[in-house]
Amino acid sequence: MSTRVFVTGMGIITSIGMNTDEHLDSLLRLHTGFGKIEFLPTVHKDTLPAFEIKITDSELCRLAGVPEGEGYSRTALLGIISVKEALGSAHISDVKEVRTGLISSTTVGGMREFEANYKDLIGNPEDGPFMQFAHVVDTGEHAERIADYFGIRDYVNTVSTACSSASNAIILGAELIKHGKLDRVICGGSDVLSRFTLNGFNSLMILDKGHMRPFDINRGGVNLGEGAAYLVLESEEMLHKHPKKIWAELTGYSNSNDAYHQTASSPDGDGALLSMQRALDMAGLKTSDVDYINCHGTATENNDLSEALAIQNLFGEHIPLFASTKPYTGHTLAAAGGVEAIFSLLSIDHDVAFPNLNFEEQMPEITIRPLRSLTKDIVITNILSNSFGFGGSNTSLLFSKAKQTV
Amino acid sequence: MSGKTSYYIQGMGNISPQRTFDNSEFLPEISEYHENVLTCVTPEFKNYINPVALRRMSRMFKIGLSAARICAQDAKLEMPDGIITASGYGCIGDTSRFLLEVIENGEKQLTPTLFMQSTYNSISGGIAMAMKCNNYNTTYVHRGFAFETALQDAMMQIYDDPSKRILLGGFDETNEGQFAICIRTGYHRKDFVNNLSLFQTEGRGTLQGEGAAFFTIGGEKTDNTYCRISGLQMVYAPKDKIEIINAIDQVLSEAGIAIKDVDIVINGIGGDTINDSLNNQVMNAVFADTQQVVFKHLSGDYCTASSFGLWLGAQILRFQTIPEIVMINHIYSGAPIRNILMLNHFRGKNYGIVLLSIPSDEQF
Amino acid sequence: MDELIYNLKVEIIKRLNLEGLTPEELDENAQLFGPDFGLDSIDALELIVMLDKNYKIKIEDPKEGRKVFQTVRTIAEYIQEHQAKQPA
Repeated sequence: MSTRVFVTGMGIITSIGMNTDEHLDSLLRLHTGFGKIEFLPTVHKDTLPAFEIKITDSELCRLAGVPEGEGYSRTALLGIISVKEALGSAHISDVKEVRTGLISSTTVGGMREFEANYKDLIGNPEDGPFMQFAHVVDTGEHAERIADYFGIRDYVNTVSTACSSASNAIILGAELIKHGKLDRVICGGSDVLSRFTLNGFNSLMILDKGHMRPFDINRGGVNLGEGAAYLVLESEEMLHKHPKKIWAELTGYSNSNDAYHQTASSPDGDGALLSMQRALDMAGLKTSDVDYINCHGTATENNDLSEALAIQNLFGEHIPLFASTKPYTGHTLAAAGGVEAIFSLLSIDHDVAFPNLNFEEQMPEITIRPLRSLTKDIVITNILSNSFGFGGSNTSLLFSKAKQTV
Repeated sequence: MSGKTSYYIQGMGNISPQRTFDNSEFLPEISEYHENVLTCVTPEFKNYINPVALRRMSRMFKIGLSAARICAQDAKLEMPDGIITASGYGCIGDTSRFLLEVIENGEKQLTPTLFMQSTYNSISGGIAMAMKCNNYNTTYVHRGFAFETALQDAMMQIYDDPSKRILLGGFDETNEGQFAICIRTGYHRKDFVNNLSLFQTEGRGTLQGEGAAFFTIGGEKTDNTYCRISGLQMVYAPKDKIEIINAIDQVLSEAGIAIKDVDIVINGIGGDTINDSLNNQVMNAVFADTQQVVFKHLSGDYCTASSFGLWLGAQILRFQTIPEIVMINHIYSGAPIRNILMLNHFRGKNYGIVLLSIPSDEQF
Repeated sequence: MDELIYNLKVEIIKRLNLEGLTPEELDENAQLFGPDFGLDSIDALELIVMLDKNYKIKIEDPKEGRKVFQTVRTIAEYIQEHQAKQPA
């Protein structure tokens, strides 16, 4: 397939900003969203830190422009807010003018509201306000809220492959454009803090009680975050007809599976290496063409060793700058692939490389170290962004600086 | 999709509330249910999954993995070029159990296995591990489109490389909690109805069903090929029957066949009088003179039930016979069955159209 | 100690769903995470939960868990040592 796919818009909301500009500002100021959990009613409030968006559901309803009491989950609200920005940034005022699709992703959908209302939903013989959340737990529900809000009807889909979800949504979006099914696709993901997820990760004993430290010898696991992030992908043909700002070209991507364990990565990094290699092969690029890798970097003992070994083995003599930006936002789960894609695009657009915060001491098993300082005025042409999820799901996206006319 | 690329069903594995896991038979016996929940008739899991791995698996996981194995064996598929799964609620059993632990144990002493297996792509990951497959692997979870979007992705993979063979499957399981909630909101039938009388009894709501149906889709004909997949379309939230009819017209015209060439239409109604309305309007408007079959009285209704429908269509084409139990009219003349169109819907919002064929100049 | 070891075997078989294995067949000196039983890191986490639930002993660090869970006997010894330290 020769059709090229470009990013023409983006929208994001996490604990470090309400939109793309605020995120750039936070990234440049090294401002993170790390802190205590305040809104989620959990027994772990005082012991497990997280990257919570300090906005109530009520206020999110107002920002999204939807009424309260009509069953909009926090996941759907973050999705609506960030898709709104994405459409605006791509100058799309009428979604119906060409074939437009939405591919969202999430790990648990509206579980936060479902778990809060579960006892009533199952056991309360009288109906009540809790009924508005009767069907939020299915992962496709939030996507239909977003699609219906914007009037998107040509194609609606939801991906759920754990931490690689949004990246897979982006890959599918690109494929649908290349196969001539759609002219443009809004793709990304949304996830919020829930007791289900917080306790799930805690039961796997991979949460750090302090601020996460990817690739560090003393790393103690991940911190959870919440957020939503979406890209607008458009075909080359669309850009000929309607020229607009191009953030980058999606020149390569890969989806492969570790086939090793449900929650652990292959310790020698083979799965991660294959993922990055295949993305490069698709783009026709050499390892020396990569300027920066936005790592999955969850600061678990297993992932970071596996990913670092993969980078070391694949890039050999020419190790690019690499970093995990998760210490800024926490691990936003399904949204992470979208969040980190947007950070990659900001890097390319602003000639800046974002650092791996909290790194102090190298792991003994490897010889390479992540980028420790914010680096400005550096030309970034090609960025690899990795997202590796439970179930062995490994994805890598390759974004390349593009000329403004195609 | 270009008319030149062909898409074949090269193998199947279906575990459902009917005896369907043996491909050499076609609905040899029909299960009648005494509640509004239909649960799977399962094979011996030990035949498909190694005992060490089996111990940790939930019921849905065992069903999903076994169906995938049956399919791979049927297709003589040793290494898939891709594994794509689809589900509306994933392994909801484990999700519910973990959620209950969180609530009842005060967020302490929780079982990690339940959380791990509750992720939607745990089964596609499990299949990859069992087959040592490092290739493309993803999971689609959009309600009544989950299976169709997965099938479309498989077809795109094959368009790019017709030698590829993709293992594709839809799965969902029954769940007490969801059933209770769906009774409250009218999605499932409150009053008992015998599944075999479902379509003779008007009412709000469908029966809750479950199943795992896997297919090996490839671009090349093999010894075991069932039929071609000749068309696929999805329609989201149609305003009227015209939108659906237009989509059907598009599918048929791209396949080069006319309405009169459709030998059988699989009507994916679920027994909910209101939500079934558009499907039935389309049937009356376009397929009044076509043999119609239904299936959700056998499978129950669930997000990925269209995977059961696809299995049904492929089996009809293979066996060249229509089981009486699925017929809703009696127009079939006995002539060779060549083209089957499925129109499925989920809760009146997600409509999927799939066309299956055995062209007259081909032997399968 | 013998009773503790027997109970542990029953609990481990149940918790890890080791179907077809009887307490008599589970050798208390056999390496649990060796080739005989096919246990992995998730099973280790399950055993941590079991220790907490059944014996009120918390293991905070999975690395410590690996040392404790070598054999049924080492688990039993760890329990005895830590239960002796707990207030009556």
